[in-house]
Amino acid sequence: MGSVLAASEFDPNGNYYVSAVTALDTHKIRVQSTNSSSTLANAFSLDKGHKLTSVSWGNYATAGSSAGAKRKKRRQSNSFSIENQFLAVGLNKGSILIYSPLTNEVISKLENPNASAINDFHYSSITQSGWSVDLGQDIVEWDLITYKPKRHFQFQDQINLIRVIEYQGKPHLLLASHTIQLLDLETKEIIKTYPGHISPIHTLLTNNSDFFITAAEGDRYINIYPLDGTPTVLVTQSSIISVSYGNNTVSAVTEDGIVEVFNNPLTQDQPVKNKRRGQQSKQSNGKIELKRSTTDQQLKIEHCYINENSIIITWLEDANIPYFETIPLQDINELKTIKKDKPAIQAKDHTLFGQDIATAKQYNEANAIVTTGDNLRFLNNKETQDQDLPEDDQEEDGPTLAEKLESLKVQQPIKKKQGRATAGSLTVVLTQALKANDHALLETVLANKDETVLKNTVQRLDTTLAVILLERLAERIARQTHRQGQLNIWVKWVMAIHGGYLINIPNLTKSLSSLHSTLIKRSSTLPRLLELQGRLDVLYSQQELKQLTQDQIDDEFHDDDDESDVEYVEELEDAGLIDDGEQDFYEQDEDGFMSIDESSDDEDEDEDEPKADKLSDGELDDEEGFSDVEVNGVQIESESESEDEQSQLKARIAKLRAKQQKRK
Amino acid sequence: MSEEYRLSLVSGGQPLPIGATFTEDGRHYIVPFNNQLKVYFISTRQCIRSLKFNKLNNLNLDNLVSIKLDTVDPNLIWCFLSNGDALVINWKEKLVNPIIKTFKLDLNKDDSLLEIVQFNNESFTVITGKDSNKPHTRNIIQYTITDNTTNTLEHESLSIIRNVILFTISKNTNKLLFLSKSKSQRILTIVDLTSKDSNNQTIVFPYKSFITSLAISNDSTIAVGTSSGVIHLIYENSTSTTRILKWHIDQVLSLSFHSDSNYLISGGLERVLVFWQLDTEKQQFLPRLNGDIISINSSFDEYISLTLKLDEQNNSKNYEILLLSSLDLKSRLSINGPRQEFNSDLNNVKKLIKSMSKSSKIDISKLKYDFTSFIKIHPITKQIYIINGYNLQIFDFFKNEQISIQKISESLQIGKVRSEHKILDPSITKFEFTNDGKWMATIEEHHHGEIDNLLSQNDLTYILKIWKFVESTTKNPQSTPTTSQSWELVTKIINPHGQHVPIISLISAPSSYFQGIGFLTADNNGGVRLWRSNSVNGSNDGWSLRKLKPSSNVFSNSVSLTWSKDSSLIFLGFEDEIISIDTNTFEEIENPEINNKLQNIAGSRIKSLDIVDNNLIILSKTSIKSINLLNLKENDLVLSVNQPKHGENLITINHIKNLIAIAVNYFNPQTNKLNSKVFVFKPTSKTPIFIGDHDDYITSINWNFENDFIFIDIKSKIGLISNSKINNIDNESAPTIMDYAQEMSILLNNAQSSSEIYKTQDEVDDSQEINGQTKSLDINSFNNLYENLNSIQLDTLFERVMQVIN
Repeated sequence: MGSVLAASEFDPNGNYYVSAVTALDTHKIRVQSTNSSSTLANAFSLDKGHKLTSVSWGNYATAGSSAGAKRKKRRQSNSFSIENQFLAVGLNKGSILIYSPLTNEVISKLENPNASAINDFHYSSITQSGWSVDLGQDIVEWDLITYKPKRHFQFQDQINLIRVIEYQGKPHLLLASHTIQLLDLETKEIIKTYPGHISPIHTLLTNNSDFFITAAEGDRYINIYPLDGTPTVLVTQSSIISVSYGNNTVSAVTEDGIVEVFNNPLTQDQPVKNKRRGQQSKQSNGKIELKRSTTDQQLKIEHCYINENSIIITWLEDANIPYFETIPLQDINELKTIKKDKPAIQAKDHTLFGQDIATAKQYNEANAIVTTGDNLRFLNNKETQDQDLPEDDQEEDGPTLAEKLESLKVQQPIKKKQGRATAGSLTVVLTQALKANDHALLETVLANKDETVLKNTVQRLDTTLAVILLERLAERIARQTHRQGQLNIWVKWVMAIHGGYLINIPNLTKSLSSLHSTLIKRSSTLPRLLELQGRLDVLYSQQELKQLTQDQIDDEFHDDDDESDVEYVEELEDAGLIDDGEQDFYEQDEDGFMSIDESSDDEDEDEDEPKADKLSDGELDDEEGFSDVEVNGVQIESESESEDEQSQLKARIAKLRAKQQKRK
Repeated sequence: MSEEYRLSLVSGGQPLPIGATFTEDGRHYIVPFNNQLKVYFISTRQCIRSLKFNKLNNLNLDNLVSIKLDTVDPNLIWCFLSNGDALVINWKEKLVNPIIKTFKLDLNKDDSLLEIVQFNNESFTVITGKDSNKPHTRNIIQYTITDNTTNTLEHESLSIIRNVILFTISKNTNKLLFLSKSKSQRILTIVDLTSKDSNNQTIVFPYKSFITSLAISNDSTIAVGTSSGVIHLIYENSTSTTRILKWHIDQVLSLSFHSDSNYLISGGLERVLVFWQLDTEKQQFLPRLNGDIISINSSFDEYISLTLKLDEQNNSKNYEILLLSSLDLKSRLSINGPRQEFNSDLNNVKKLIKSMSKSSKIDISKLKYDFTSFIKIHPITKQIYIINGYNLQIFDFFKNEQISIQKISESLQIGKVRSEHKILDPSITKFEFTNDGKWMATIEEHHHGEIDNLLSQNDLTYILKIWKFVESTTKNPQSTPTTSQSWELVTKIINPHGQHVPIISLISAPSSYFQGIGFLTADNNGGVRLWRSNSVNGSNDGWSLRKLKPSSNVFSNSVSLTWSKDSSLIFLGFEDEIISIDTNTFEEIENPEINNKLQNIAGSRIKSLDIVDNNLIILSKTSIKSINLLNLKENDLVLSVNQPKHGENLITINHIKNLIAIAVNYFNPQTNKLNSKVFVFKPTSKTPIFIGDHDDYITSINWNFENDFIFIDIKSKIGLISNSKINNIDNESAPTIMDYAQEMSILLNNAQSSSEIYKTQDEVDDSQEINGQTKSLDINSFNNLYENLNSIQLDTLFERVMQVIN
């Protein structure tokens, strides 16, 4: 856990590596070559809202070939080439993207009929089809030539992983959640159940032979199950993140960021292990760790893959760029340490991550510590330089500049304040809670809302406990926003009653820094809220005004009902005059009422296109291009709908008034 | 003191947006700058030759129109200026006077040269007309050189097109396209230079959008870019229908057809270069370029050269010439100069000169605008760091190249269009290095901007970032390991002095205080905070606030800090007061005698404080003063000055030799220009030990942590004030011993050009030039020359020089 990669996987040949990172709130899937023989490095981003839930590799060559090729699979997997590879990306919205890394495009999208998040997708060369399982426990078999579901059935239990395995000559499904179940494809019956893990299984490796390997979340054990027989258990030093098998070797990446390697895990009768009688689980034969050559800082290995006679490990530089190293299996000993310098990223390295010399250097905020100026935890105004530091030359120089200045001083004001000691009897429960650090007890005290009780409690509290009480209160206020009102009363009384004592405590700012920063942060929102309140007030009163004028208009309309025909003609005749009247009203309107949401769009339009103004002769943009005017026009409309309504209203009033004047 | 100082311009300069050209073999790229011609060897990205313009060769390419290669001698280029002047320059050999010949083209009154269409040694076709944005007549004129020795020219007008707004030339230079405007119609005219008949094909552009760019291919396909972002393609034979290419959403600033007319390349404000495959209409993009793409040139098939307009703010006209390989679209060269961010809009220079020249009585050093900029020199690498918006540009003074540009803050990576201009980028206001150069602190300011009219639109957030200098090595099997240096963010402190409180001053701790690993910041109401690393032995533990002096309620924007060398005392200049703070207690020292003295000394707003050898140097708005801190007596050094708002940029102190250098800009009524002087003082005396003249406005001056002062002027030229007796061969403005230096440099230049003959085509040898670093001729190289100076002949001296060089 704790990796920035949402998912990662090596291809069946170990030549390519897919990793998914979150970039700008979307998942970005990157495919890279693990060695220098190929320079492939492509990436694509998912649409907003889509999240990746699984990623796996598949191969078209086998998908396209006849079913008779079953037995040759071993050889075929060696001839896996990137041309035929595809990536199946399961999404939270229930579809599966088939992506071709070479052409960098999504070939097809498999729409899951149930539209629930995909838990796992597996392409099987045995059945020549893809298998998916989703949150709704639906198992779908996909035809990857037509990209259509072939068959589809429900399973009664939650499944995390799905694999196809050959059992007794027929393809069977392996379904893993906490336990692993072997399902007969034809009868849909569970043939076998392999119990073993207490947490959900995250790795299920089948290797076309008659065993499979499992590892689970937060678990230190790797189980190797023969389809028939007793399992072998491998144990690592800490929780396993991923497992790889190949060349009769199992490797596991653990949470510590190291790789543990188990040689010949299947042979039970190793001479070395024989001595430990009766022990079923095996310890690793070798470990790989990665360190910086200069600082000895340990780097976290993200993933590993065993390929033929070597093991490929990958780690991240600059928080998200994968780097690879291949280690021959025979080189791995008890603790193999690999030293790596921090690489400088160059344009040539990867087109995906490389940085052209001509562009601005990016930086990485991921590793930085973020704090605020309110954080006074390390504040110590009395701090002086360590005396251990070699400062011989200074001492030889005699007094410092400050001391020299000091010697000029005529007088030095001496300020000393006497601490006011207040004594009193204790409020037993609170004292006990504070002294024993009993949070539950403290809560019962703090739950008290009677202010006089509260005041008396604080008054009788030992002043020395006041600081502790304040600290406890600060913790609670920082964590639980909704309790601030209640706890503020406590803070207030502690301040009021024990203030005198508190002033005299040295480094009070330091010990109460958390209280200080929370209170500052909370209080800083006050002006904002007041401002908002003010704006809302204006809005409300405007609404009232609007309501008022509405009523007025209604009344007026009512009055004029009888003569409406005549007026209509008049309006037409005096159109010009009325227009003028309207315009005047508009101008007033803009100055007076529209101050709140006055958008500056109009001005910007002018700024954006000074050239156009110069030469345009009133030309408008052509029909094809979306013109500035249109775009902004729409914006204005949508932004000031309410204003429009209002101004329409005003316009109507103006018209009516004009009419009335005419009549007179 | 017998030391002599000298002011010389050695580096810097801005590339001109037009005129960069390939040499005939395509291996070199000649780029004109505002102060030199630079020749780059493309495969190594190195500048192998720079031809500086100085008083000796009297070169100036300010109004350059085009550079053309001589068709006979590959070492010669012809530079055409807009006033009709043509200069033939030898770029390859080092000659005393690189200008081989000059002549002038006859132009009509008010007309200027606009473009060279076709060129060879005997004749050239040019376009002339009035240089303006409004519709004007354009003439196509062919000039023929009839007599080579007297440079007599005959000219013949080929065609005249009226009311032209824009024009463009096809790649094979045979076709010209003019956009003209008559009444409300816009007409595209194609002029074919190969056909003799004067019937030019015309097409009426039917749409109403404003045209911003044009391109014509060899087979007369026309591309028209418009302000709305749509590109219209008009084919020669089908004038009625046009194709439309849509991607851009704002002005298309540049268009170009690539090699075989199958590709169109366009660029605009989005800072994305778009490749259109015209047959399939597939697009390819090259995003995140450094500036608006104002011109694309793909005349040389192997490369695409772009001119990018950098930096919107303050109208500073900085350009970058970017050379991309057309195969992999990676950069081959990126050429730019120092990118300063001036405190005031450069358009105000004209205003200033105008107002100054009107009234004669005013004080010539009292300039209304502040064009200074904030730069610093890294104490170890000696590279110059220049603030540029949210970037820090790292510029190497010796190589005269930008080393890198480091992003300091997150921001939009593409150019802004339309309403996006409302989004304000963060900007760096201050930065500082620790004395060992391993840490850097930057302060940036985030404007929330007026998007959506939020309550927070006027909010400012300040962020203090602490960076660590990281050197990483790359091992290349072929070559020696190269080290690359970068800054890594360690700690980010949001609102370091509380919300909405700006930080005005930032300094680093003296070396005596926790090895100098610390920064001191002061805000605009007198609060001072000390930041130190938490780590004990260099592990990444972050930085935190260690000491704090609370703020007062008085506000001022003139706040400055200085820290005594033994780290015991901090002086805070606040408005016109000086407050002394004890480092150990972080409290004001309350001593009436000291305080009285310090409070009244400045007299006006304090711009800068510094301590030199127990003397406190106070630069205020109206004066510079020095006070001895041991007896609180004012030193002799009291001068009246008129410093601009950010006067701290114009003063610097050499802490090794205890010297103060101050730059003073003034208006020269004789020439109607802004000039400047640099004074070097000792802290105790008001007689300057050096006065240097410079003929441009100095924007910043800094001590280079050795013996010299480095300054940069408004045209981005970088100068050096050095105190050894001889510092640089191509010295240009040393009036004292000008004759001598001139003679020397002539001899030296001749010798080098003659030795050039013996070198066989070895390109890299050229890089042993003064500005190259391979064989460094530094200040000390020539020290031995001056032994027994009085008794030797000039020839002997010359031989000695050659000995040193070889």
